[in-house]
Amino acid sequence: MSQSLAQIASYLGGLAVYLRNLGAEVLEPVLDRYDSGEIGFAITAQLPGSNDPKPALITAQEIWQPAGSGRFERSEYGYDLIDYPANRRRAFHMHDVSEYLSRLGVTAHEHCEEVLGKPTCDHYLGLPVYSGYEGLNALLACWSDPGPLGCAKLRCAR
Amino acid sequence: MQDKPFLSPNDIASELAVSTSTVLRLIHEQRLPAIRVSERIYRIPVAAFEKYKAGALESPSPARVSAEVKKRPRIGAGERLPEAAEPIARVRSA
Repeated sequence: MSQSLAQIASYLGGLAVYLRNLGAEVLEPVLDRYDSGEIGFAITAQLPGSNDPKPALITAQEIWQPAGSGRFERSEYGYDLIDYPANRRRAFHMHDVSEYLSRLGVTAHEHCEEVLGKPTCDHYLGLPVYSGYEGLNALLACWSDPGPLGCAKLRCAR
Repeated sequence: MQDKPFLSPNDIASELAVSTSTVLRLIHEQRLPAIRVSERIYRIPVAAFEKYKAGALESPSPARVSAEVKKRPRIGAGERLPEAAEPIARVRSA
């Protein structure tokens, strides 16, 4: 669904406040313009709780491509949780779409590491994440759950 | 030992001396920040509840739009692209 520049700026501001109101530290977000004509952003949130060895981090990156009439469509995203205190990682990605489509037959993929830096599979098949709110909430749910991430239940795509 | 304290809607209800359904209503109306774990399970970070009690929750405002034009970043930079999948016919005949 296409959005105007003002709508995307409001959406980005909303994502930052959503994280802050949950107790995360987030810098003021900025909607960037790229030399490709696209726009996008990257925000990082430092989550509350343990700082040992480092605080858990969530990042949200999105790229929106022009869709005509001053509107844009989200074309790529990356939502990542690196939970340093729990030593694990979870991520939802959509990027390099034509490569992934030709090699795996999917546009979206996921990452899951029960032990940080030691994935048992490089890419898991994923379903598209429809908004930053959905992606961030899914990562926050992982962060808030002390149990395993459940990587073994995902389908490895190689 | 991790220090990641979360409260349940029941915990919040006890703290505020209200019913759990009132807490769930606050969550659904987005007046109390919460992490939705599943259709019926919510977790509220203690930090979020402290902000709520202090009346310190922020209202969204639009992000600043940069006037500067930057080089397009690459999402997934450093990530190894997957190997090509084996053709389905070969997999089936194996």
